[in-house]
Amino acid sequence: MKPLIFILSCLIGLIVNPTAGLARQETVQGQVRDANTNEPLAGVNIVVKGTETTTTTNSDGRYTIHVAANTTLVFSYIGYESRELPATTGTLDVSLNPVNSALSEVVVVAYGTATKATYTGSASVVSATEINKQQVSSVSRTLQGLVPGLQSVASAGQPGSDAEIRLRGIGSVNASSAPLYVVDGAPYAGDINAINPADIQSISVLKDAAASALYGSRGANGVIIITTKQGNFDANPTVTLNANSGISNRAVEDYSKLSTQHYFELQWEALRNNQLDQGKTPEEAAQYASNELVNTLKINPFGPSYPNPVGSNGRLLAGATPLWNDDWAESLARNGMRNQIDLGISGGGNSSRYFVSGGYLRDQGFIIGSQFTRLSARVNYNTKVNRWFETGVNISASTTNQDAPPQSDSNTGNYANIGRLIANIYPLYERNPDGSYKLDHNGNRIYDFGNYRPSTASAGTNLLGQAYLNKHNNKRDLITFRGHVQLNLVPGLHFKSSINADYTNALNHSYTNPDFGSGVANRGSVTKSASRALGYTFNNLLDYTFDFAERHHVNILAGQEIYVYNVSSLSGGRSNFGFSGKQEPAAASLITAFTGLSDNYKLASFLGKLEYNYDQRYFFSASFRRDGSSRFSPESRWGDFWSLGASWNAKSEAFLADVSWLDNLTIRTSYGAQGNDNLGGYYAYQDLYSIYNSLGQAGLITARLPTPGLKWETNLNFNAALDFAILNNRLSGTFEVYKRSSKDLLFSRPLAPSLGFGEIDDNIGSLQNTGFEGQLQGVLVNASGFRWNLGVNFAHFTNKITELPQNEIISGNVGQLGSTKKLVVGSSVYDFYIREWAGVDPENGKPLWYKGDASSGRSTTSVFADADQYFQGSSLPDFYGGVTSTFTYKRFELSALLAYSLGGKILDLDRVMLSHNGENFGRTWSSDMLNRWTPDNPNTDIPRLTTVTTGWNGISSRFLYDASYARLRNVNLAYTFPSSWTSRIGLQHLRVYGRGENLLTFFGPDGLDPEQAVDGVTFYRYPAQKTFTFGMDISF
Amino acid sequence: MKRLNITFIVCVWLVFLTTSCSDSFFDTAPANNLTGNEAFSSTQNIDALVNGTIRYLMENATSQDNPGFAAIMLTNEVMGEDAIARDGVYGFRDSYPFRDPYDNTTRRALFFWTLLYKVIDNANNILANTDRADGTDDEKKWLKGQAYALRAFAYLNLVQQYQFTYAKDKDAPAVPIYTEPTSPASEGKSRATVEAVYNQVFADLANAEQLLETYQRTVKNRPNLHVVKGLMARAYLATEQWELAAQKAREAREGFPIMSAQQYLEGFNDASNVEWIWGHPQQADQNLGGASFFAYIDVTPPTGYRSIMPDPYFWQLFDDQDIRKSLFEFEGDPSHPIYRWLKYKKFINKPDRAGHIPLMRASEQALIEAESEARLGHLSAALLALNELRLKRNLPELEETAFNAAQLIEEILLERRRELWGEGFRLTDILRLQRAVDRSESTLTYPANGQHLLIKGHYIRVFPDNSPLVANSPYYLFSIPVNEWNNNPNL
Repeated sequence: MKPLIFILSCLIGLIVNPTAGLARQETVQGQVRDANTNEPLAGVNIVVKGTETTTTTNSDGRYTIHVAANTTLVFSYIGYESRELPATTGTLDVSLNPVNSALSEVVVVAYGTATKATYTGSASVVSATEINKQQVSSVSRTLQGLVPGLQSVASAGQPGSDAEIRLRGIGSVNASSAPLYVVDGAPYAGDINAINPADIQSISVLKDAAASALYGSRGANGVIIITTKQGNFDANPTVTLNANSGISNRAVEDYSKLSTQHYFELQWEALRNNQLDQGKTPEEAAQYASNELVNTLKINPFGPSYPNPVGSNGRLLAGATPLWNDDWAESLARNGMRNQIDLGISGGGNSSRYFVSGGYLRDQGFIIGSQFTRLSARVNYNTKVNRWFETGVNISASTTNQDAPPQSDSNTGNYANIGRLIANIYPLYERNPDGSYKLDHNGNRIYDFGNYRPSTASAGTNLLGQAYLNKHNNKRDLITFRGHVQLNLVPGLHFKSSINADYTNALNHSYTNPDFGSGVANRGSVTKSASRALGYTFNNLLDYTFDFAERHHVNILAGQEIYVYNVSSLSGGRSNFGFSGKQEPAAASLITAFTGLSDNYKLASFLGKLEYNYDQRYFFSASFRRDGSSRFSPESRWGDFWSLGASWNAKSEAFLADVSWLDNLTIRTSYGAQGNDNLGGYYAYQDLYSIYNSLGQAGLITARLPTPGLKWETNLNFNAALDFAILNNRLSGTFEVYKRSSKDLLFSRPLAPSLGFGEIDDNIGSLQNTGFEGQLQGVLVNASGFRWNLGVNFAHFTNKITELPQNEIISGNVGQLGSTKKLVVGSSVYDFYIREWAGVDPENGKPLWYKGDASSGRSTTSVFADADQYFQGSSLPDFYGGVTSTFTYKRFELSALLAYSLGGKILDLDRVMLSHNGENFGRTWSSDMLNRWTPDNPNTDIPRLTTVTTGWNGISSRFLYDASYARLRNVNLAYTFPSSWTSRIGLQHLRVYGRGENLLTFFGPDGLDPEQAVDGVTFYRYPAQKTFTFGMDISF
Repeated sequence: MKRLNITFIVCVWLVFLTTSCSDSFFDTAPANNLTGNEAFSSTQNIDALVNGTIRYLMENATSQDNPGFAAIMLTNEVMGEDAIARDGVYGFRDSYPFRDPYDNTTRRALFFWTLLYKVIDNANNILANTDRADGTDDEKKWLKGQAYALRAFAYLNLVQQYQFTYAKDKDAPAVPIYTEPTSPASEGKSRATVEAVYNQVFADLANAEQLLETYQRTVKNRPNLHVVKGLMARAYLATEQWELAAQKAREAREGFPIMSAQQYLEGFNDASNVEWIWGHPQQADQNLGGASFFAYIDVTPPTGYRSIMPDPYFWQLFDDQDIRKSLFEFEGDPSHPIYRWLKYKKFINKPDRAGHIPLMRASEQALIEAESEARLGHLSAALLALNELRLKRNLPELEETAFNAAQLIEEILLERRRELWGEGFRLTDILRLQRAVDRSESTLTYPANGQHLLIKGHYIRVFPDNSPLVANSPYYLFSIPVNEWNNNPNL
């Protein structure tokens, strides 16, 4: 570390000795700014017309040039319209108008900003306009369909839940494949859903090495940079107010289910068939089934007049009709309300600017008991104290309150799954045998918790009855601080020091009431947990921009950074409430759990970046970062990450300067190495014994084998791209190809379980993602007030394992159901490796699967365990992206975003839940079961019913479907009132709009929501919801 | 001047920052783990490893239907004839029809295997590292003795469940034997023969017997000398070494009188019971709650799984004056989920759901003694042990004149069924005796509500392939999980 200090000191020493300027007869100086944002523009080319005298603006947009009298200056800058102005002695401040294209976009990138047109890296930007069109409660959900190469899967409909995001394929197998979030310049340690989308100015998605290698050991899976709004210098205060209100409900209709009559007839058949299998005669078996049916299902919805409602012919007796028709899934559904109000005030003087905002959101969700509320406030303030001192702070505070009842997994408390556990033959409210409601002493209906039901039909559960009594609440308070001071040492040289902290205080409160449902046995229970997490980044950066020999432009950044994360938690539980209605632990009498933990994670880094361009034509960049991480042993703690990038702006060449139809042509490429240290745990090298106390005495148990050499995964990233714009920027696009090779991949190398460990962590194996992506946007129509903008983006990648520690690794375990994937060299990380369904044996109705391999000949078996597993395709899509379309006619705007994903497979385990063969008494049955095998219906893909499991709904290709889908993510119709009208009522701007989120879903299989996890396995999740909203924007 | 000052400040700042960034900056340690060096630094810490290993054995659960070692106990029950996994109820529904753990892809197959081998590896760690720890020689002896006992217990279970009995084929491949702790370089081993595994069990128990001579335990879940002798008796019984089995059973139950008839009604939930030689106490903050041994076998609570029911023909095995018969109750309420089942109220959970789990009782040892003596032809010695138990169950003594040896052996085996129901011995007895599971459809009725109601009984009476239940069927064996086959090339 000492050499670095030396170098830095020398560097500083050199620059404090400014060279003296050369004096001529006339000097023009001034500042060049963006006409819209008032931001200074660095690197603007200024030529004295008709001469070869040129200069460029410095990083503050300032320039000085020496000219003869009566000359003209030409200001040109990529992405902006050039201006010619007469040179006047003294000050000449100039503002340039951006040309209407993506090229002029200023992209927030790692440790700075860049202009899209000259950036050597690969970055996509999502603007505030696009974000604000969406009615989502978490920022992570706004990117779907908007960023080429970004795969976003919102696998839960729970309000406030995040989307799973993968950039350019899957970067890792056992470590995280999720991107790094950076908020206002520093890695973000809070919850993404705590950020108010209305505060966001832009989101940059960094995809290649040149863009993200500066984030070193955390950049391997891409970086998502969120930048919040700032005020403008010299701008009058502006107030913006946005309010909207809407309704949410289920986006995709649920699976269709058997009617009560069919349910009874099919359960009868299952009982009869099992008796036949135990050796009874058909008559005995049928009689047995008729006699035992009601006692098996523990309910008789046909009333006491029909004690055995299904006759020995297997048909419902004539005249028997169900006395109720309840729907358990519908019982928990509602029209959820969504309300949002955001207020922002921004402005600035000549030396300072500010943005202040406040927001309120309440998103109920369509499942009863769920809800997300956020209150947020923000102050962003920047000031230039004098020529050499600038400072700024961004402070935001938010509090979120989420009610998230259990909504994944197969357990009986899952609100999303309850309709697939309890068949609609059971009443929601307690009934008398004649079907009339039982009433309590107040005359109210009584929820039927069904203690009488078989446990396969969730005995003792009525989530509707519990929803208002139990509690599943998460509260988060988050404070985010971003502060910096910047010293402008000499022109072009800045020293910036920043401190950034994210502080989260979380409180979870989960309560099960003692009177009804699952809490009856232990008189209710409560757990309450709190945690405090603080992540802070402290960095010091030196940034020097200078030119030499007129056309050579250089920017150097060097600095140091530390990141420290600490989380400390406390949780406890009690049971046995003495009183109803009291929900806090203080009211419960038996302590069942108390524990607390803390973890620390530290990272120290040195980083540097060099950018050079020659005459705005040839651009080069290089970056380097060295990271030390507390996750690894001292021997393998430090890692080096780097990148090289280059781009060529062909349009700036003389031979293209006169091609009028071509507005831009840029070719760029990059290569580099980024890291991934997110291996899951924080202590990735020691042999560990878990503290496992027992009966009041110390206890230990082996937890982990030692792996002293364990280190980060490295991603080697190649990118090549072409950007173009033609026809006066009416059509522009980008096309990129890439190859990401992950090496030293962290694997949980499976061990023989007889060794006492299931796996050992190891850096073995490598993985490759190769792909291409692109986007095209154009103004298709622009005539007589009508304008149609269309954007299309698309991406394709191939994920391939190139090296493994052993021949194959079975992966993708789904709880009780077994594995779903196998990793071998040449396959993707999400290749389904499951049993292959061979149909139903027409002879006997048994389910069949294949066994044997192609060489020795395949045969079928009716024993699930004997069947072999085969590769059945990958969950990864072949092609995905989005289409955006905006029609503008006068003051109306109609816009739409369609996200699509083509190819890939999805394993529908939700369907498995309701496709049992009769062994799960009282559990919901899909109406598919009507087509079960019978001697009269021998050719079918639903086997014969029986009360013993046949394994037929075990994991097999029977439940594997094509995952292709398209979803109309949002539609937006807005009308902006004329300013002549609004100014009369004192407003600058007034707009009203109606919006729809997830209005249409195009997907093959019935009942399933297509947005499930990236690995293609469903998990009984809260399905997506659609939302209709109306609202207005006002500014004054 | 001003600029120079700034430069100076910046330099000082950087020097301050970089020098503070030494290796100690990175020091972090997990709050809930010890490293190997810490774990084996003292006998006190190693004692924690013994304590944790026993908790793991009894309480580790990968899913609700696999509540630690009790999952093996209950599987052994429902795969026999005297217990039934109630239909439509979560828990042991797939073991009852011989589907799991026979199916090597099931989580149960993986769970049983992993549970026992993890105990073995922890015991191996204790045996390998105790000598270099700080502590007295006695402490080290006792720790190693307990580790040997736990390892022997694990191997004894494995050898009886993963291959047919010793008498059938002692050279058949059973399970791999590990006696060294697993390291990153370890590889899976091949299956040792049934005989080799028993040899390991006998060697470990002999070591344990010697090392635990003076050991005094404070909690009944620790294996002491009596537990070791009881395990020896079980192993000798399984290998048909009758004299040794009888002798060790006798020694094992010394000081543990058989409980009285009245105590038999107390719910089998407390290790303080006079005849519990080995048992695992529970407490409110660490038991498995609604998915524990008791949650499945205790049929008295108003809600919960209550999965394990007695066969009506098992009820008929009891004489009327037998105190155990008073624990049966017929459920005649049509709205009750257990309607028309017999409930056997042998096990009743404690109010805080922390019922203790029995692992070895004097009665079992008395029955080992009786059976071994009977097989040796020592009928009077056999009856002495059997009658000692019968008297405590309100039954009259049996006379030697009423039996020949074979009849007496059958009577003792019936007594094992009556006495040990629910404690996990039935399937291993069926395998040891090389008999078929005997399940009949219930035709028995019970008077209730003014009518004779058919008592519910066995609803599965054939193997999954619809073939009849026969002796020495592979359906009775636990299968080596598919993960082991996939990851152990030496198997």
